[in-house]
Amino acid sequence: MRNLVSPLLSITALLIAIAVGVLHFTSDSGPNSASNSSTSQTAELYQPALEHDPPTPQPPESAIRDFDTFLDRLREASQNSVTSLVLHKDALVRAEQVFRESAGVPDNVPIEMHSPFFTVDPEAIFALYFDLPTLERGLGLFQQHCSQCHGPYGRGNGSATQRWYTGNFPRNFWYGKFKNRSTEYGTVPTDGDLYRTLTRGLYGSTMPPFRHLSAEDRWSLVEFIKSLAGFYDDYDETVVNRFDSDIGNWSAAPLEIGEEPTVTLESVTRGRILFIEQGCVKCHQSNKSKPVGLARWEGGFDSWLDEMNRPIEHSRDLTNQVFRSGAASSDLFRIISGGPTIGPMPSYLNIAEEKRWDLVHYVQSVFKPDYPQAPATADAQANPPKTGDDNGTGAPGGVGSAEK
Amino acid sequence: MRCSRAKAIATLTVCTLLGLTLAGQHRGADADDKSDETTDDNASVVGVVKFDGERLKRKPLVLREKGGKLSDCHILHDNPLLDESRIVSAKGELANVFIYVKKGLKKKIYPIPKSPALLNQEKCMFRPRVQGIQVGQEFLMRNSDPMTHNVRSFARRNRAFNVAQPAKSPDRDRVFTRGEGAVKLQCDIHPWMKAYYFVMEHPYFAVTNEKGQFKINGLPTGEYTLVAWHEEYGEQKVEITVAATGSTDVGFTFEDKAK
Ligand code: HEC
Ligand code: HEC
Repeated sequence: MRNLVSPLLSITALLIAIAVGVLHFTSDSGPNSASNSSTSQTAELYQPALEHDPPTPQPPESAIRDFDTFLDRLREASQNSVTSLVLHKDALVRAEQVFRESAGVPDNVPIEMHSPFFTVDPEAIFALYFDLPTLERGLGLFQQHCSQCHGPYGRGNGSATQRWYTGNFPRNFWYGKFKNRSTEYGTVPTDGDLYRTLTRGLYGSTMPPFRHLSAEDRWSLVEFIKSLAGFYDDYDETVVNRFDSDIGNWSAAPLEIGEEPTVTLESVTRGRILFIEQGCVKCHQSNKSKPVGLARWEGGFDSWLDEMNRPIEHSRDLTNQVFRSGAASSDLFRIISGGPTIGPMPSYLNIAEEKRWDLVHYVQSVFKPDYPQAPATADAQANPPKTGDDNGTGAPGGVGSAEK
Repeated sequence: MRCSRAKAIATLTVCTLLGLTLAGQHRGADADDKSDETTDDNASVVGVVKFDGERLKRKPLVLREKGGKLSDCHILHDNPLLDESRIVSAKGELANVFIYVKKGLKKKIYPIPKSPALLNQEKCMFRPRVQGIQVGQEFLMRNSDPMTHNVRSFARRNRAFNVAQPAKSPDRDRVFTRGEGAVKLQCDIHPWMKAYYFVMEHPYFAVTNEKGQFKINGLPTGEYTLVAWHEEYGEQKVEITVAATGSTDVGFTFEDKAK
């Protein structure tokens, strides 16, 4: 058995840090106030001239590259109770006990303490994250800026969420599921995607932009968030990290975004027809004359749920330019191709690229008055859907199943 | 190790009849039998899954879309569609139970079935509701309906997916690379549409028919853990010993969790 870092000290440190984080949180950034204010912000905010593909970060000077140094560093850190990054498997039981006692949780009430850092041994962590200083820094920043919403363990259940009853809840990072991705459905985002989220925030939700943090700080947060995406695999009875490309099949290269075709009346019209044919209208319908809008109906169904089975009460209103991951053409192209992965919206990677651009143009035409406007008479062409042609070429036996 | 992950602990009684051979039995003849591909047919495991408790009336499904609008699907049905989450026969036999060998098999690569596993979207239901697919086997999703459906999988070990399938569009297909238990499938446009699949690394599995029967062929002699899974009533495990000849009779009895 490996030398353990002291769980007691570590947990205490973590709890103190959380307490500080909670105090730090100001109550006026509740979800409703935040989302109201974001809708009234200028259009410029929704499409900031921002790096779409931020540069790949280099490991900082402080990165530790050999395991012994890594271990020494861990022990040292735990002795100074600077941080509580790593607990060995056996320490989990004791950690839970400490947590129970300090929080006054009765024995028969289950608590969830699982996180890769609590259950994987140092070697496994080293293999993934030899960059301990960055992680430590990320942890500190997380407790300071994020834990109020995302929860002390990144479970998406921070103290601020207790007052929330609707809208999108903060992400639970243990699932490794993200909306704002340049990758295929069901895969983890690239580092650049997470960095973009931190820089921009998610428009229309309470997730704020963190542009005021230095680039280095944002990168440390990205590393830290990835470290939380541990997943207990009951099949193999092991804990794996979704971002570990060797173990899972959840990582993928970013999708190619080709050049955007010119916006024409034809492309917008084709988009409008596709919007009906592809079933978008089923989830994005309103009683406005255009087949787009906000499908907001309260309750009644238990089937639209997020990654933690919390209700998603409505789809996105496509008329007001407030999109979680941006309203630029490339943003819309990405979300239509890869799907948000969270919630019911499918991925449309199986339809041809031109068609996805048509859909982008149509969606944009709804909030861009200077775009050509598709005539409502076009809707008749969509219903009933034309035979078998969803492979974009009109030819039989096309790429209908290209999204493996 | 895992601590206090909220997991429903099913307190279910398991009635097992180990090693009881039934002479001349025909049971399980029409149970889902996937073991054609194996050459080993020393013995078979057969049994009936029962439900012990009040037989709930199957409720008619409400064919409404999110938002409450009556779905087009109702025109496909003269009689109301009934809920399929608990199908119990008059004699108390439980259908749609997935039975598989969990432990005891030697590590080995099994041949991949040549014919694909099919999920049909038919009259606004997924067919079959419960099925096993082997690693590497082609999995086809077909829309036989005049309306758009989407198939969303909640896979955890394999990559999750969510595909939209307008009427008459080509079959979608996927291949799974890793074994995985009970994955839910759902159509978000028609939220009552649900199905479940297991991705298996071997061919020793079956699904019970309306008479609660199942049959697994060709298991080599040895000791195994057999698992029975039902979407509402949970999971049961039993240790079995398969002899060189004859059949091993295994019974499972599920009870209502609420009790
Ligand atoms: C005021 C509450 C709040 C704070 C503070 C907050 N978040 Fe969020 N965050 C959210 C909400 C809500 C969502 C989900 C929004 C949605 O799904 O539409 C979210 C989503 C995210 C996502 C997922 C994006 C995606 O693609 O799915 C990431 C990553 C994230 N937050 C990181 C952070 C980090 C890092 C911090 C601290 C620096 C932070 N958040 C602080 C509320 C918050
Ligand atoms: C099964 C229901 C469903 C279907 C079908 C569907 N969507 Fe969505 N869509 C949603 C939901 C729910 C959201 C909100 C996702 C979230 O929580 O961020 C959404 C979000 C969006 C967004 C906003 C993404 C963002 O960054 O905020 C766009 C754009 C969009 N959908 C376009 C489409 C288009 C185009 C189609 C058809 C090709 C389509 N949707 C089909 C349910 C659906």
